[in-house]
Amino acid sequence: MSEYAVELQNVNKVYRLSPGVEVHALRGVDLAVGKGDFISIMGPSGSGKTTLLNIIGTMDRPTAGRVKIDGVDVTDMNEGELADFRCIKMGYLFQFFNLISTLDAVENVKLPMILSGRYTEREADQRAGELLELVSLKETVWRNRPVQMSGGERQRVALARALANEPALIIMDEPTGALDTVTGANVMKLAQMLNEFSGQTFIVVSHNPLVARVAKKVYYIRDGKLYENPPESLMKFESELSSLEKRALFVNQLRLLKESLLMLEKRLESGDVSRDSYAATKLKIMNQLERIKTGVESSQGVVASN
Amino acid sequence: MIATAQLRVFRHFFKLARRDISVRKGRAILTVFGITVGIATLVSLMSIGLGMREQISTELNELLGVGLLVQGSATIDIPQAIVAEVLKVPQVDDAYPVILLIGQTNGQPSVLLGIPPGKVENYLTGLTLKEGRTLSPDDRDAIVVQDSFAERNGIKVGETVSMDLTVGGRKKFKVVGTFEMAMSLTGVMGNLGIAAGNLEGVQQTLDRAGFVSSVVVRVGDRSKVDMVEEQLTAMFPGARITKEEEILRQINRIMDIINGVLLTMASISLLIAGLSVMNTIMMVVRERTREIGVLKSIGAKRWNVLALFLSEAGLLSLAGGVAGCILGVVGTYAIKELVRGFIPITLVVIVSPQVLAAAMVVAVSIGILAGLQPSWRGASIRPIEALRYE
Repeated sequence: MSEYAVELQNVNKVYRLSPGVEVHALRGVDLAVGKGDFISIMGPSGSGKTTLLNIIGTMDRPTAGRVKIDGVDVTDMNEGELADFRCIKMGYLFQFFNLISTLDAVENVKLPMILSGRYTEREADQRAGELLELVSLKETVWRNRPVQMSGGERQRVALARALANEPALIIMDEPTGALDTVTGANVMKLAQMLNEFSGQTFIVVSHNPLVARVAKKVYYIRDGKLYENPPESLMKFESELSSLEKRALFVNQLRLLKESLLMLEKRLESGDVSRDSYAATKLKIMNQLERIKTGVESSQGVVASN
Repeated sequence: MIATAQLRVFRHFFKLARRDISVRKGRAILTVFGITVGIATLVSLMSIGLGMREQISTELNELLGVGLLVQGSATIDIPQAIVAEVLKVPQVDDAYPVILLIGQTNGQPSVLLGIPPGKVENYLTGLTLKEGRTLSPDDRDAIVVQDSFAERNGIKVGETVSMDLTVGGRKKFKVVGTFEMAMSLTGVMGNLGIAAGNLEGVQQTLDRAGFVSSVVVRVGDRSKVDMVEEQLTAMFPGARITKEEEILRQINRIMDIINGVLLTMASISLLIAGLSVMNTIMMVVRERTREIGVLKSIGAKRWNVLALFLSEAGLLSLAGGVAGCILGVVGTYAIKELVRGFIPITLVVIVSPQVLAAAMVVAVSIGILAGLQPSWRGASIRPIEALRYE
């Protein structure tokens, strides 16, 4: 048996949006997460976080590379095998809880147990109760449907559901994203305790610095590449923008400047501005244009080099 | 063990389907209503169609008995003497000669029937005398006429009426009685208006003594009809012999066409019902796309999701089927009453358990078939696409 809960080898993911247009969501990602680890993956939107999480969660397949979960190579499994695998090995916690709206708390927690075929109705009922107690959900809301619960309560139910089949790996996608600070902290505290006491492996994707603090190890992802330390550029202002977003920003500025240049020429023709002040303003605009053009090229360079 | 686990999974997904329906009651009711209307149409049309077929065949049976009709090639060209020959055939219970002539009275079509007086009621089933007297063997130009004939021509008992006949031209008859007939398929003839006279008298009036247009042959045992037919064919090679069964078969062919038309009408409403189920399941799949993703993320397989949506389609169509059967039965009797209110016909309807069972099978099959395509599409969505769906 492998000592790793998750092993990714040179995982690439390319989305073909239309013929000729490809987005490289992941570029040669290598990752090894030890059993009982608690890791957090941080990164700006569009950096490939969710794609990475989906591939680890066996919900998506890599374009190239291999994926091993709990020592099992899942890369070539078919949909049915993956469903069985997910049922027993994986627990998911989503940002927006994703509970089944027509089922109450107990029924939601029971569903993975029933699907696993390992529990009878009564056993599943009993275990669902234990899990809901574990996540400290008030017994008064056990028979409530998700709409009758608060965000925190829903996330507790979702956590209990994720734990239902005692999965080796629990994957959390922005688990505190839809919760207030205190509720979010409570949920993370609970996750931390579970990790410590039951030795389950947790992989969390989040923007929340609190989540990063709970994690034993933090990874950073940017433009589809995974880093163990935050890359330099992450510290800068534009770090929250992806290269594509940055480029769009530059292009916009460029257009604005070109328009002001045209306006300036019109004003000169109509005699609104003197030739001297025209020359001075034009020089200023040209300088700025030059700077932005270099910026665009360098951001294109990022795309090309990656 | 595995079987019980799968059963448990199915039970939970079935529960999900039931909850789905209960949270969208309005839509469910509309869908069920669509199927209800389709199935009710089917049940009513089939019940009425079956009833009509049954009514026609019983009345034909009464009319012809079990037997045959020996006819010549032209009108009134069968020697009456053959009746004695026919009666010699062992399986024949009874045989009597008749003359059947189409004619006109005051420009309106009518039928002149020449018949031995004792056989009138055998031939015209459901006949009851209203006024005057019945025929007697001594009658010459006396006739009894159907009430509708008398009414139409304004004739009373004791008066004289003239008929323009296809054989013999215009003849005068004295009306000695009127009768009424139960509304039946005697129908075609009955609607024309029947005037019946003593066979001998009619023969004399028409100057065709000793000749008749047909011989009615009664055979008591249905299984012997074919045998009798063979013998009669051998005895009278030139005669046209019609079996009652053949007439029935022809009527049945017409009934099949009518039924076909009725079923086509029902099929159209069933098609619409199917489309409404399809539309509903499409909407359900769209609304629950995210939940499909969630179910798949916690280990549900394609067939689990398929079972969920098909259960929903099945439940809706089952409810529609039950409601449709009830509405169909109620509707059938309502139509029967309605028809009776307008025309003096008692529509015979047959609500058979087979029809109801067939309607239920049709309802559920249509629901599941219509639900199959959208369900399959929903079940085949990849979990990540489903989860991303807004």
